[in-house]
Amino acid sequence: MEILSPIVRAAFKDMLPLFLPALPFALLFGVMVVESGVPHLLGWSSSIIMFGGSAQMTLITLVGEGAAVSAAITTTLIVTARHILYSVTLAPRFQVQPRWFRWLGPYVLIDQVFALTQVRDLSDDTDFRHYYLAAGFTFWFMWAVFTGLGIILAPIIPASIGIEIAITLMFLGLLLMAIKRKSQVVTAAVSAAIALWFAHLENQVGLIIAVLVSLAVATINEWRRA
Amino acid sequence: MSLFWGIVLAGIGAYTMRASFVVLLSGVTFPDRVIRILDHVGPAVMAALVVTTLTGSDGRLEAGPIEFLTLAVMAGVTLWRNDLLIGLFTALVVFFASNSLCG
Repeated sequence: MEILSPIVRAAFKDMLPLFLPALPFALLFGVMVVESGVPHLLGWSSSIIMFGGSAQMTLITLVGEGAAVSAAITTTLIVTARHILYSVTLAPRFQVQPRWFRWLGPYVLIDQVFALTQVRDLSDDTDFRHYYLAAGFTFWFMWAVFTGLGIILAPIIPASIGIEIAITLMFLGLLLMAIKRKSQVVTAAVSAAIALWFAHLENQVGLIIAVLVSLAVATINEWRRA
Repeated sequence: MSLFWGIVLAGIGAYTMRASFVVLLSGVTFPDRVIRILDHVGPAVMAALVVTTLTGSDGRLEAGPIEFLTLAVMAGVTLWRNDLLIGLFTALVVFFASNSLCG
């Protein structure tokens, strides 16, 4: 008898390659905690309490540089704002799920988990739930382990591991696999162009603007097509 | 405010953003047109993330010819094999080989 269902094994198989590009960032986050002077256990606890790489890095960096905690929280929340869009997008999939899942699932709703829900065709609601939880908590577990390892191994980890491009490659691959219609190509192109235009704005605000404008264009196109 | 409470507040804020619409819209019926528009969120966010990870804090592209070659290989192999892992490993091999040859 198989211990794990095929859908759970598929989630592990899909999530592992997505964690590889995040692995250097997990280790580097550990280094950032040590260099910022933040108590190690407190810094690591953000992996459990916040669970969001860019948000954690923003908070620890700003606090380490002497910013007020309240200002660091505000900036962190701006960086995390794109997760609202994930919540809107997945609302129709979650509304048919049990109440406990609607409360637990969002805890692991990060970029990679959201992207997998857009790439994988999961029409069965139970399969969706099992896949989502397996993928989300696989990433969560590995993130917690490797950020902890980063803190422990900080003295021997170089400041730059040299494979930061892996995260860009991962997002590019996910983008290509998420596109299923021609109109989505237009949306992606508009979003990329606007993100480049506003890339100078702080705290990834340009990213939010790019997504909102490209969604406005997508909405107009969908209305014209209907 | 102590850092511990800062982390707790940031965690609550992040969770609230992720859960907001999932919980609030649990009883709402979504028209097909809205669902078709929501299908665009993934490509829009991923495309913006690709660009954001390629630019520095001053907004300039930090990618050179080797990075663009690596991205092209990633795109080509991923589309050809329809497999993210194969695309990623092939692109990273090209990235390291190009860096060792040109560096």
